[in-house]
Amino acid sequence: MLAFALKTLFCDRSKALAGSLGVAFSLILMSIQGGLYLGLMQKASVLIDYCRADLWVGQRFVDNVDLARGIPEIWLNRLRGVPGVADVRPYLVGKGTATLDGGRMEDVWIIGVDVETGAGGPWRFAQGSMADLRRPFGISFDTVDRVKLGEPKLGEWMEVNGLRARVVAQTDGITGFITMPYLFTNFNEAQRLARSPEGECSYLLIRAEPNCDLDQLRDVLQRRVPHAAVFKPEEFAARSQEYWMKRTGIGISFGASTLLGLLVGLTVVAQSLYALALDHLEEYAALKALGADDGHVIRIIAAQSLTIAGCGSCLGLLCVAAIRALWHNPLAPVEIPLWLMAAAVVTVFAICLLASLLPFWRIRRIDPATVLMG
Amino acid sequence: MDDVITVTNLCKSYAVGVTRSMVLRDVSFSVKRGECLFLVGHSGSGKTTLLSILGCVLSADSGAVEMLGERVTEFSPAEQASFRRHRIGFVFQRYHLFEALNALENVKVPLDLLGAEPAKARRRALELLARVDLADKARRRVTQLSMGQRQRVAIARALAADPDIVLADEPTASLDKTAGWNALETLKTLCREEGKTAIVVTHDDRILPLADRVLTLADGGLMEEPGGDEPPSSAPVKLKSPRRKSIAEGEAGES
Ligand SMILES: Nc1ncnc2c1ncn2[C@@H]1O[C@H](COP(=O)(O)OP(=O)(O)OP(=O)(O)O)[C@@H](O)[C@H]1O
Ligand SMILES: [Mg+2]
Repeated sequence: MLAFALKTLFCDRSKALAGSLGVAFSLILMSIQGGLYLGLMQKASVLIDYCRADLWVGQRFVDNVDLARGIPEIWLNRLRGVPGVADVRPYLVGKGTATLDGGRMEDVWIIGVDVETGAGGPWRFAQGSMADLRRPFGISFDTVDRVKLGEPKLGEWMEVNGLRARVVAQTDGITGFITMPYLFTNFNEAQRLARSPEGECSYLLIRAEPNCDLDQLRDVLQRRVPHAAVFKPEEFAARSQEYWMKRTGIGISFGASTLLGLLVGLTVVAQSLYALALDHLEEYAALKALGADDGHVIRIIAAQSLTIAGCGSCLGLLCVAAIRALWHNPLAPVEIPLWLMAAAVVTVFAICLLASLLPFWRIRRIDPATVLMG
Repeated sequence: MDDVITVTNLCKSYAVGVTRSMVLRDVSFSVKRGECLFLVGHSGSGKTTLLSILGCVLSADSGAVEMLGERVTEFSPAEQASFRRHRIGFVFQRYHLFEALNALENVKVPLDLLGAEPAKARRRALELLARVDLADKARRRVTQLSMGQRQRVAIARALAADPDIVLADEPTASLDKTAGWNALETLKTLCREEGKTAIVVTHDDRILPLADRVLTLADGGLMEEPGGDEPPSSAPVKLKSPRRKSIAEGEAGES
C-alpha cells in the first residue's frame, strides 16, 4: 500500500510541494515565534543567567531581578562563614535618570558589581574591561543603547541622577526585558549614583564551596536570614521571567501567532491532501471495490501526510538552521534550542495527521459500487 | 460439482423520482465451481446490477445470495469488504488500474490489501504477469501500455489474491476483436487452471464461444441459452497459444 500512497502522492508534485511548503511555513513560524519568545524571556533574566552566582539572596517579596528592593548589606556577615559558603558579595540594581545633551532624559539601570571577583559583572565588552570599572566615577554603557544615550564616547562625562559619571567601558549586547540601558559600575559608585540609602544593597551573591549541595545550603541560609528570600539562579530566573509573562500577557500573543501559523499549515496540508484525494476518487473507489476498508485507506493517507510532514520538516529545519546561524540582534534575540525544533517537528507531524482526516472523510463516502455502475 | 453461488428470488429496484423501477425480479440461478458463466442481455437489463450484488458492492432488496457457503446478502459493509478482499477478483470495463503504479505494482495491490509478505506478493505478481504474456512489461507504468495489455494486467490483478470467484463486467468492451478475444481467453485459461469460477457480463457476441454457459437477462428475469460449445465438465477448453493463433487467423480469414 505504501507504493500506492507514495507514487500517487508524487505523481502530482505540485500538491506534494504545496503541502510541504505549508508544513515548512508552519515549522519556521513556530520555531521563530518560539525562539523570539525564549529570547525575550531570556532577556528578563539575563543578569541572573550570566552572573555566575550559586545562590541569590534578595528581599523577601522580590519577584523580578530588575525591580529590586533594598536589603541590609550587613546580612552579609550572617552568611559569611556558614559551612559551604565560599564567598558573599553585595550587588546593587538601582534606578537612575541620565541627563543627555540638550536636556533629554533617559531612564537607566545602575548595576553595582563586585569588581574584585567580577561577581555580577558584565560578560561581554566591546571596549574596556572589568578593571576599568574600578576607576572612580567609571561606568559602562552598551552598544545597543548607544543612540539612546546620545552616542557617548569613552572618557566622556555623563550626568546620572544629577551626579557626574565617566564612561570607561562599553559592553556588547547586554540588554534586559524592558530595554532600559544597563550601566555597570563598581558597587560603591553604584550606591552613590543610584542614591541608595547607606548600608543597603539589592542582593547578596553567594559563591558556594565546590561540590556543595545547593538545595541544602539554600535551606541553611534561608534560616540565617528569615526576612530574605534565597534562590537558586534557575529559580530566580524563572520567577523573573514569569513576572513579565504574567504582567504583559506576552505568552498569549506569541501563542496566538504560533497557533495562527499552525492553522495555516493545517489548512494548506489538508487542502493539498484533499485535492489529491479528489483527483484519485475513482482509484480509491476501485481500491475499495477490491476490498480496501477504512484501515487501508487511513494508512494510505497517513503515509502521504507523514511524507509531506517529513519533506516539509526537512525544508523548514534547513531554513530554521540558516536563521539560527545568521540572525544576530541583541534587541530581538532568537533563541532556538534543539528541543524547540524537535517540538516544532512533532507538532507539524501531528498537524499533518490531523489534516489527513479531511481526505479520509471524503474517501470514506465513496461507494465502491460506482466502479461498476459508473 | 458443488454450487459456489446460489441466487434465490433476488429482487432489486431503484428509486426513480417518487416511483421505483424494478430491475431484477425474482432472479434465481446457481453456478458451479470452475464454471465460466456469461451473462448477456440488452442494455439496461440489469447485468451490472446483478454483478454488483454478486460482487458485494450493492445490496439487494430481497432474496438471498449464497456464495461459498456464506449468505452474503446479510453481510455488513465491513464483512462485504473482507469478502471481496479474500474471495472475489474483479475485472472492470474501464480496467481501473492505478495510474501511478507500474504493472507489477498494480497486480500486487490485492495482495498488499491482504497484508501478504512483500517477497511472496512480488513472486506471485510476476508469475501472473508472465502468464498473461506481460513479463517484459512488469516495470512499465500502466499508462504506457496498450488497452489490451492493460486489460491483461487487470486480469492478472483479479487473480492475484487467489480469489474463488472472478467477476468481469464487459471486460472486452474497449478492445478490438483480437485483443478482446485474447484477453478473455487469457482470463478463461487462468480461471480454468486455478480452479476459479468466473462470471462475465458481456455485450460482445464474438466472445460467446468461450462461455461454458450463457444466461440472458430480460425484463428482470433470466433465460438460459445454449451458450458454449462444450459443457464445463466434459472437456477442458484447450486455450494454449496455438489455439489462440488459429482463432486470430480465423478472424483474418473471415474479414
Ligand atoms: N443508481 C441507479 N439509480 C436508478 N436507476 C439505476 C441506477 N443504476 C442503474 N439503474 C437502472 O437500472 C437498470 C439496469 O442497469 P444496469 O446498469 O444494471 O444495466 P446493464 O444491463 O448493465 O446495462 P448496460 O449493458 O448498458 O451496461 C437501468 O435501466 C438503469 O437505468
Ligand atoms: Mg452494465
